Amino acid sequence: MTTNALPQSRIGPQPKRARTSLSRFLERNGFRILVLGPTLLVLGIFVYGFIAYTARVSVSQWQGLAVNLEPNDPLMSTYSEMLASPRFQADIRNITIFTVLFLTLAVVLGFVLAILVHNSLRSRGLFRGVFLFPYSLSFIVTGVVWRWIFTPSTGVNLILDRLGIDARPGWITDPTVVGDVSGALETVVPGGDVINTQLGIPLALIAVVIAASWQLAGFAMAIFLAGLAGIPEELAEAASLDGAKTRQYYWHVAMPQLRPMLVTILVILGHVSLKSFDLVVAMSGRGPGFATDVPGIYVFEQTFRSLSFNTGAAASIVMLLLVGIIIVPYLYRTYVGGKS
Amino acid sequence: MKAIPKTLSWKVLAALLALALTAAACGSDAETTTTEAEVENSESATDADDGDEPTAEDDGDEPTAEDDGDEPTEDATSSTGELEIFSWWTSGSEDTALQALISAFQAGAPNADIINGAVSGGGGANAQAVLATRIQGNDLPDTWQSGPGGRLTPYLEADVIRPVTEVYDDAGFRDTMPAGLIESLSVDGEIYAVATGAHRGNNLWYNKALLDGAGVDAPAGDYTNEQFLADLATLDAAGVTGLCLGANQAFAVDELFENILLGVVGPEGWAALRDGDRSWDDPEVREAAEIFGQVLDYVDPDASALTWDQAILRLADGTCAFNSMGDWAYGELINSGAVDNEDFGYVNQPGTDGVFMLVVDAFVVAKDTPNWDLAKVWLTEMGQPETQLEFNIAKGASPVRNDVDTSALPPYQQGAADALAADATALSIVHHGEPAFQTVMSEAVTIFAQTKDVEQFVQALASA
Amino acid sequence: MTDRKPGSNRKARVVGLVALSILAVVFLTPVYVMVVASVKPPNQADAIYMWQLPESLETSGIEQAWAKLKPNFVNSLLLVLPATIISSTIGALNGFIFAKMPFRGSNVLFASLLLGMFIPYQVVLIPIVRFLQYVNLYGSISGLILVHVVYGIPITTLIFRNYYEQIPSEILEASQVDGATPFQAFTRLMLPLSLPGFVVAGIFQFTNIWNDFIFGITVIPDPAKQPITVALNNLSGTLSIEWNAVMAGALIAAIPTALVYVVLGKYFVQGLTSGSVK
Repeated sequence: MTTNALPQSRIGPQPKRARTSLSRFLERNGFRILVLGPTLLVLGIFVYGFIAYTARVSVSQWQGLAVNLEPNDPLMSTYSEMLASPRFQADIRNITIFTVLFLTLAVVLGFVLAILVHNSLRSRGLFRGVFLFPYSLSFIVTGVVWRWIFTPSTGVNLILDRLGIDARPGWITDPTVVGDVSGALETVVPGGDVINTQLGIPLALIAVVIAASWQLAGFAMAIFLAGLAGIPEELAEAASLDGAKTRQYYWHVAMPQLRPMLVTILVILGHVSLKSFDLVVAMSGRGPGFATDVPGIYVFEQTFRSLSFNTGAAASIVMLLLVGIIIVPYLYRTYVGGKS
Repeated sequence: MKAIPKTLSWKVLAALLALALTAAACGSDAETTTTEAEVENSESATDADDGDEPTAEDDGDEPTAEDDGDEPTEDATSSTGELEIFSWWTSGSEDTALQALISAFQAGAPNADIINGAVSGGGGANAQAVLATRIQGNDLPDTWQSGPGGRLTPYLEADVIRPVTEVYDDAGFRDTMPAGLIESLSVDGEIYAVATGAHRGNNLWYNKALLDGAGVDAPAGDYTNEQFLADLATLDAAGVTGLCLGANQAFAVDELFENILLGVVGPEGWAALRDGDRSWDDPEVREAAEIFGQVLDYVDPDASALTWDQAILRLADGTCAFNSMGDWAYGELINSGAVDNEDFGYVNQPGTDGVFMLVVDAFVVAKDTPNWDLAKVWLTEMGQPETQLEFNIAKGASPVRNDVDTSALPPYQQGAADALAADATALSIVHHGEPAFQTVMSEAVTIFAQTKDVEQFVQALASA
Repeated sequence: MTDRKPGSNRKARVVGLVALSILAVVFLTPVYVMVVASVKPPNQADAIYMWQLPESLETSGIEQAWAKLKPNFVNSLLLVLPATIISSTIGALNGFIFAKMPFRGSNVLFASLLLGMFIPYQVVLIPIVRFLQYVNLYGSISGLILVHVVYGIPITTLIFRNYYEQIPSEILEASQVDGATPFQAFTRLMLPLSLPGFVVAGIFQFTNIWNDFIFGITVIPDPAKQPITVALNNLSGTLSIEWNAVMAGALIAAIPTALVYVVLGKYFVQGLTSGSVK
């Protein structure tokens, strides 16, 4: 099997005698340059060029439809106003909590589904299809369905009633923020009085986390399934001969093998989460007292409804920085700091 | 354990590639079919089908400039070319109404083609986003949906729309449309848009059976906020949810506040607040905020999960008694099977009797359009009495001309059309405010609905 | 082949099947709501009646949705297939280099490439439109393909890099001895093992591009050339919405993606066998 996959003949450049350093460099790096060059060029423009442009807009006076890149005075005034606004503070709180809860739920659910489907000897394809199907639906429409489901008097609460569960949660209508620490922070942290919003967990967000996990757990499952399929059969066999229990097998054997998959899922779902927009707009909107407002909505409203292009740009730069704070150390540890 | 033959795995990708190529091959056919679909509305333009081939090839960003020079031709019907119309009317009654405008245009310019670009969603916010990007790219539609007042300001600041005053003069619109409305479409003596119709924003709808059942008299024209609050309390005591509200969409809550505010300050006060002649840090604004806060105590607990149309349906089916909403709610009530003056009634928002809160749709024209001739036909036809009538029957709004025979309108719209001609007008801030202020107000309302902090609320408005 | 695997004893299997069935029912509940709503008359398609079966089967919503979505369906295929294939291929090549041919600074480069995924699309719309006009691709499906390919590269690169990481390097070392060029090593050795990677990247890209709304609406102003999501969005008006048509439209629009899952789904498990990577 192994040898079949190898090329049978010797193809490729034969060593030459005299080589300039440039041609040696190209020979060693030609393929890399050929492949990565175009990628770096377009991403340089579309990502870093546009980020630079956005950063420039964020410190400009641009409000209204006419482009105005004149620097603001003071330069960072858009940022300071925005960061002080209760709404944007609530947005940062919401997206942080949402991302943590959503990643946890989607990954755990995806992992459980993957193990169940992987080991199911019956209707594997059917189940895989069922759990992946929500991912194929447009967020704009699933958001509406989930809003119906989480309408307290007509939605899922009717089913809870039928099941004899007495709780009647307010779901997306619940304005409560539990575990508010802003008061404590203000007394402890110097300058804590800049906090203009309740720092806790808005209960309305939980419904949105459920909806988003429903939609994307199937994708996490798909990646885990690909990973599980890649685990050499010998490992499973060896573990089985050792008399390992199922739980031990998944914890000690499968999990380490799935680490790269987990990284893939966390990064992909993380970026979906931080940019979430469609689903929230259709489902809960900004929520009672901005309980479910997210930076994506803020950027859109500031840019296209209020036509405050500088504020919209500043908000997205803050979003990027947030991502940076969370993800750069992680990427660094995973890809740079560790062994390569 | 068997290895999958590699060739088998690759069949999938090969099949996908083949599918892509097939789709690409179908593509050229598809473009012509979709263009046909696009002009299906042209009942009158029978010859359009053969002529639309080139438009499909055209990227849309190079309008046929050579066809019509700057010289307006005398006979508009001879104009050829392509008029791109952009709106946020895409489905149902809104689409029907738009088609009424398009067929009127096509009768006036039978040789012209139309691109009907439309994108719905977010109360026109998606359309606004598209327009904003196209303005930056200097690629504007010939004419697009806008509104009076603050809606025009950004376009004027960016210098992308042109005056259409000559259409008013040539077609005699000045004498037949309300002066207040023309004023709201004008800046520095020039008029910039033609209105398709006017919605009334300050309606208070109620469920008759619920009010009867709780022993509350049906409100009359001189309804006051004190009576309103007393009635809400009575309903509450009778176990009835007082107020339906579609709080899932911010505009519905904003509109409730706006309507209460109008009831407190009156039309003159309203104009002064709008124009900045009066500060928002004002005792009457505080009073309105107090009332708003009290009214919110009676809101349907499900409100945050409901859109405006669901909220009005709840009124129809007896879940809650009152709803403050513009008169597009009327069509929704009728469609649900509710009967006017039997199942539901309506009155002006307390304190706003004799005032018409204007929510107006109007079309502006791109400054640099090469199709000004066609745009003139479009605007002129739009303002004709028959077009206004047909459009507004479908849209559920009122014609803005005072010489339209309103007897053809359904009873509610007749009343609204008469009121538009007779009442004082106030221009909605929620729908036609300056974009930046509108956002600030909306954010302040969202926070106030939770905190009920009048001082903070008023300061937020005043500092905007 | 799975018989000796832990967790495959009889009791566990039964429990697993029961758990899967329960989860499947829970997962399908919102889909049930959509399906039922799509065959109701417009005034019954609302939250109040969401759990009720339709009083009469009505196809008006489906017909209305299909009539509006049909013209844009082909546009979306023309867009999504090339964009998915191109961005996955580029991602595979990039991932191969980052995983198997690392160089000094390649990890930093990779990390900075990944950061590109997180840029909020709303703010780059205006530069995108200007750029596309500059290169004469504004308003065309090719322009939209370019945008999707570019913003898809970080994700596909990530998927393939992590995927190739798992594949032992010994395979490649053998080929080096044979004197194959890196490109030959990639096409002959890595590509045949890449199917699961292509399946995952393909599913992600296909679904994302198919469901994208914001790029489609801003890059292509001509309604005849717009993708299906724009048409789906336009099924609802601004102040007049018939939910039966919207629900039916969403289900129709989901068919191609669902088909892709069915066709590609089984290759998750089959594509990579331990024998070929040992």
